[in-house]
Amino acid sequence: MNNNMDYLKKENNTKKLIRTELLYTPLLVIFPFVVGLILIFDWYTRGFIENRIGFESELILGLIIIIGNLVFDIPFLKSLIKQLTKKNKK
Amino acid sequence: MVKTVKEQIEDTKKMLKDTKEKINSLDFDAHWYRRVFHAFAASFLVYYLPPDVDWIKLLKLWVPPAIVIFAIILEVLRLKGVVSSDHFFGLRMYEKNRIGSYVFFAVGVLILLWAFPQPIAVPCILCACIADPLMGEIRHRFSEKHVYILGFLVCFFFFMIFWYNAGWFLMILASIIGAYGAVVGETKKFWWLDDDFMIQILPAVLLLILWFIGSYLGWILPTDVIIPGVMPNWP
Repeated sequence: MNNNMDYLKKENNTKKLIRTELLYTPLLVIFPFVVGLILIFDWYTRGFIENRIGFESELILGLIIIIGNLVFDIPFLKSLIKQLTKKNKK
Repeated sequence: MVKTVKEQIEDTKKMLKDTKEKINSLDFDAHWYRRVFHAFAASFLVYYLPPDVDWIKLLKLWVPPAIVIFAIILEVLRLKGVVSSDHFFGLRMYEKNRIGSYVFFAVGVLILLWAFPQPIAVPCILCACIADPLMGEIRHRFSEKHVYILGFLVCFFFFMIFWYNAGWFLMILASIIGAYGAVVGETKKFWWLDDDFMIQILPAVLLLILWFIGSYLGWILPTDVIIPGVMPNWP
């Protein structure tokens, strides 16, 4: 791994960092899904039901936000769960 | 058996201690955390959804810069050593003595939300939020050549779908220019200017020029991506 990929956590501050940032994890994972669903719901209520054009981009944007976040959330949560279970077994 | 208040307090204390120990024992993955942080920022596009009434307009005008100013102050305090870098998970080594990427990212998003038309701002923000971590992951696993090709395709897709209601010629032209700008912005690294800023602003500036040329020549320009909601009529 080159220098660009090195993180400050290598300076023995990992524990403090984790305590601070783990708190943000639910927000980072849940909020984008809420926003994506709001956009899809808006397309459904104002665009699909009322049969108005111009709302399709909201549907696509909602899907992009949800799928785009899923792509990164899954490996992130997997690595988190893996670490949790690994430490629990020890 | 009903526990006494004292026992309940003891249990809670034990639970908190266990949780703290568990968290302390984690070797958290900063790599994926950074990627998730990028993708999360796509949520800021919700900015466009609230109705355009006076008090919401005022909020739209002041809340985003307030967040950015807070980030800048935090970063200044970190660089001066007042706030320890220990509290900034996912910072890279080269960001230790330099302004963190997240500030560049926030300033880029703010400029786009404030100063650019929606059809330019939305795909540019998506490039920074989704395409940038994807390109980072491709670089991590494959070669630089793959970054250029796949990054260009992803960005091209974003620009194309949000310019679909422009004329077809403008749609293709804007997608090529936007994707090119985003890939150049992401791949050209400067110590003093972060790629998180460049990937948003470079394609946006190029497309703004195209926008002015298009409107001067009377081309059909794209309409807004997100249509603001309507304020409900309260009884």
